[in-house]
Amino acid sequence: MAAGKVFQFKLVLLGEAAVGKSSLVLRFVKGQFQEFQESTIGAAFLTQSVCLDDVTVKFEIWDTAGQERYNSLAPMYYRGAQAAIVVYDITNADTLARAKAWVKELQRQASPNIVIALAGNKCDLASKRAVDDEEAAQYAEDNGLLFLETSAKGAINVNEIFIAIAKKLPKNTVETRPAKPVVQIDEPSSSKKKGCC
Amino acid sequence: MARVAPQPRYMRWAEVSGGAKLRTLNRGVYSALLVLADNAIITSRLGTALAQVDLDVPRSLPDEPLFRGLDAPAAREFLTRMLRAWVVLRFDVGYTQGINSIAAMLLWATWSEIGFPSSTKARAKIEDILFWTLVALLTFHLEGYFTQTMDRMKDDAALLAAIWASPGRALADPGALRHADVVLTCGKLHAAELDPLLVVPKWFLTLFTHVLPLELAAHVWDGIIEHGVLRLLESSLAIASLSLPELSQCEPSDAIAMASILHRPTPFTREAFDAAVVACALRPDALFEAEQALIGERARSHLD
Repeated sequence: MAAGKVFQFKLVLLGEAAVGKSSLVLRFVKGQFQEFQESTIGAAFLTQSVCLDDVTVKFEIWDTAGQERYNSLAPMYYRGAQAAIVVYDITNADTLARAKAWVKELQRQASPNIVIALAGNKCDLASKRAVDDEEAAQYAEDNGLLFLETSAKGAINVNEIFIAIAKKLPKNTVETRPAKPVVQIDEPSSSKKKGCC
Repeated sequence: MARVAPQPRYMRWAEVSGGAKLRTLNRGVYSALLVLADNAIITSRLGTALAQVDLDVPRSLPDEPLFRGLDAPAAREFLTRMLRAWVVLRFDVGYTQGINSIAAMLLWATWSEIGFPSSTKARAKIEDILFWTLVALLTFHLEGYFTQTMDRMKDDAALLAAIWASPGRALADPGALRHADVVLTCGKLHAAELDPLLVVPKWFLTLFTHVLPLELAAHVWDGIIEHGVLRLLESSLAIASLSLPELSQCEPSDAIAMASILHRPTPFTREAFDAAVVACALRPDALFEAEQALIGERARSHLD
């Protein structure tokens, strides 16, 4: 395998409780889905890599608690993050408002060049839709965010959103390690579109 | 002499935690709280917390057979009632994720010993006992951990950081069998500059139910309920020290890898835990010194 340089980035997930942050991570890292996902207390840490044409991007993923009273811990979680996925639930309009607040906080407080993606999760529940996708897309465009509607349950656009982030992240400003065979420490994702070469 | 049957764990927890006493002092209050939880004025005031309870009940200890099998619907209703009553009783504290897992653990420990109560009468009695045990735990043992600002948890994280920095000053028994392991573990965590706040929420706010197999977590609870909140810090040191072989595999500066290990330690035996927790006994006066330093630090930060 011709593995190029390896770039490591810290990525944080933020969003209201029960919008599917941990489920997106579980789908991306292990290719699995659980109907009832235990709520994340504090934060959880996982890693997964995606291979682009000639480089490997390794994500150190910080999955965080969504309940509002955990917010005071959030700055510790997004400090130094080069990327963020802000998640809302397309069946619950309040969660988009919360997502917008997170975006504002990240733009004010996080690293200046942070790459932010907005994920409208649970897009498999189209019949219960409460957030118009065009409205969310317009908001994302106005704020310079990547945007995809995703479904951790249906494995829709999950790898894609991580790949889109991996492509957008600068590959010249972070510490790189010399080219060597990539050791895949996590089980590869088994969802439809693989994120790795 | 007639043999006395061992007391079920949930009864022991109720008595030792103070829950049984609270129950005696508050006869009939639990059912009154449940009536209040359905009152329109109450639900309009506490709606956010009650809605979060409803979201979280199906995902409380979701992998346990109790919450997956035939008893699952009844078990979830049981849990929902306990949490709704808590929200009404302690509206000043409200509902914090983690409380659901602690309540679920009380039910799990009961169920694993005596099964799910089949009759309505037996169910109502056990529910009343478990509810007041929950109140006692959250009030007498864990007061301050679940508030809006979670100050007590943050203070404990700072205390742990101080212990990791100089374990020799904090540990009570340098002659304990596993003392060297504990000191080595503290040294590793301190050298990696691991912020205890990366692990303490999962440890303390779920009382280890998201961290250890539940049978082992129940054993850790026995100690915390009996010995009080100092045992919470001692237990966390013991669990970390039992992960020393795995921690030693990490790059010395890889705090995140270490935090991941501490989130899900390789399971160990009760006996190993008991030996480790002896070595982790803390000198109360050392903690007092660390607390005074914290208070001073906070006062200075207010002045700045």
